[in-house]
Amino acid sequence: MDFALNEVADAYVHSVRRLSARLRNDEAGARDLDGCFPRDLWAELAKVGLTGLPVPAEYGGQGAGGVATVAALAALGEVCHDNGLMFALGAHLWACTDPIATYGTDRQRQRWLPGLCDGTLVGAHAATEAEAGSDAAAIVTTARHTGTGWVLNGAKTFVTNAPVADVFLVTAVTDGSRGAMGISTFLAPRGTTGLTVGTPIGKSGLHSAPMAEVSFDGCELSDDALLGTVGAGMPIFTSAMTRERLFILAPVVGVLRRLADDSGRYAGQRRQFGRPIAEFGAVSDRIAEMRMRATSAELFAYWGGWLADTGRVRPDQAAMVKLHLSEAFLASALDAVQVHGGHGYATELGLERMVRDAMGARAYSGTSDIQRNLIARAGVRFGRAGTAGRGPSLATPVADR
Amino acid sequence: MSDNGTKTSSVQEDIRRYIIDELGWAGERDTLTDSYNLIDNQVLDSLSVVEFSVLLEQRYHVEVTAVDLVYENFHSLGAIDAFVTRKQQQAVAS
Repeated sequence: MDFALNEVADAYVHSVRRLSARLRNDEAGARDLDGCFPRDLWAELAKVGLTGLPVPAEYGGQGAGGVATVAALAALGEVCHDNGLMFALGAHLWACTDPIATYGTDRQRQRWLPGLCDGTLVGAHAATEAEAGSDAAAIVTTARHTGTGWVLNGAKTFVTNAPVADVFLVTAVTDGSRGAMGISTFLAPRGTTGLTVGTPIGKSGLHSAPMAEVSFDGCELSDDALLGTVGAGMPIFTSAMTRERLFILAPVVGVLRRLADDSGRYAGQRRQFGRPIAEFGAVSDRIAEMRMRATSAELFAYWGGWLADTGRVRPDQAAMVKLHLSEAFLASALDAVQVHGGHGYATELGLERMVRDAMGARAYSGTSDIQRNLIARAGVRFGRAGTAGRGPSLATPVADR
Repeated sequence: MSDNGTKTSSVQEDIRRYIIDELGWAGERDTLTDSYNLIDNQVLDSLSVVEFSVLLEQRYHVEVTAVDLVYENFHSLGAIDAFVTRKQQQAVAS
């Protein structure tokens, strides 16, 4: 495994760190209360190229590989205190922009990617439905071909970025007789007749990443709106989710470092009973666990980036990355609150906000429970083939196993 | 590759073995004919098709992208064999 960055990528990561002064971190708590998507900060992310991070340069992106992507997003997590903003970026990148870059025709790429990369457009993914969450193939939204285009009917929910999105990547059933293989993917521009964005859905945290329902009522799209081929909707979805699970929590690598550092500093300075609270075992144990989680999460994230660079990632490997980072996020957020005592529970330090944000990480992009199912399922498969327990070496690309 | 049938039967037998060993096929081996519908009979689902594509890339050195993972290419052992053969021919042609 090789996590080294070349000079260009290293310089890019430094440019991301320099965003620190422009992210108005002191107002992150107020933005949490307002629940508004910070357009000006989105523009700041775009100025350094984060809104087009994995997109080839010819379409306006940075063309970052997997390891460089993790490094850049981890740097963002170090300097950005707005988890909602970083989640909105993740949804935009991995569930909409990246699939267009990967599966779009040149015409679709030319139409959408420059704007998605330069921050003038925001992307969203409309996949989840009332009765189809983790079971994404259970959707009932339909797309009927009319001879000249497509007509969509149905309703999506929990669509991150929906209130501010300009283009929606939508999954719909195109052949009800073929189950998961009868689903296709479409690009639906905001403002299309028959496409309606509902009122924002209230949630516990990640308030600067707005979420809403999106409904399609006789929504007419041209033939050019089809992404990939007819019937490839679920493979595209699975591929997009695999990439998303590798990268959507990469900013948390930086957040975990910050939480461990801040808590360690506080525990060393806060005195009770005549000595720093870090000298009490119960507190120092938490600091140790936080530092270990920060390190293991970093390793998991870079492993995921490296796997992406090999071009071969299995869904269960991406599930491991997502599961580990999301669980570490919540555990360390809770530990940080505990180390800081009353100050942690109060809103002044933003640590209780961190807990609310981290709870979301265990639900979006597939719950922790579904990630465990994916991971276990792959292990059971190996067992049937008689290779149970050996598992593939972490350092071996899947193609060579 | 498909002219003498050697590769064709190899691919189909390979995949048949994978379905029995890895996917835990519970039916009679004879039922798993070259034309048995793997999608309609829920032998393959959307996730196993993705995992399957890795196997095909690894064993037959063909490039498989998500847009290839459609019903027409994966509904039976015969369809998978034809898909692999077509991909190999495309690779040679390019």
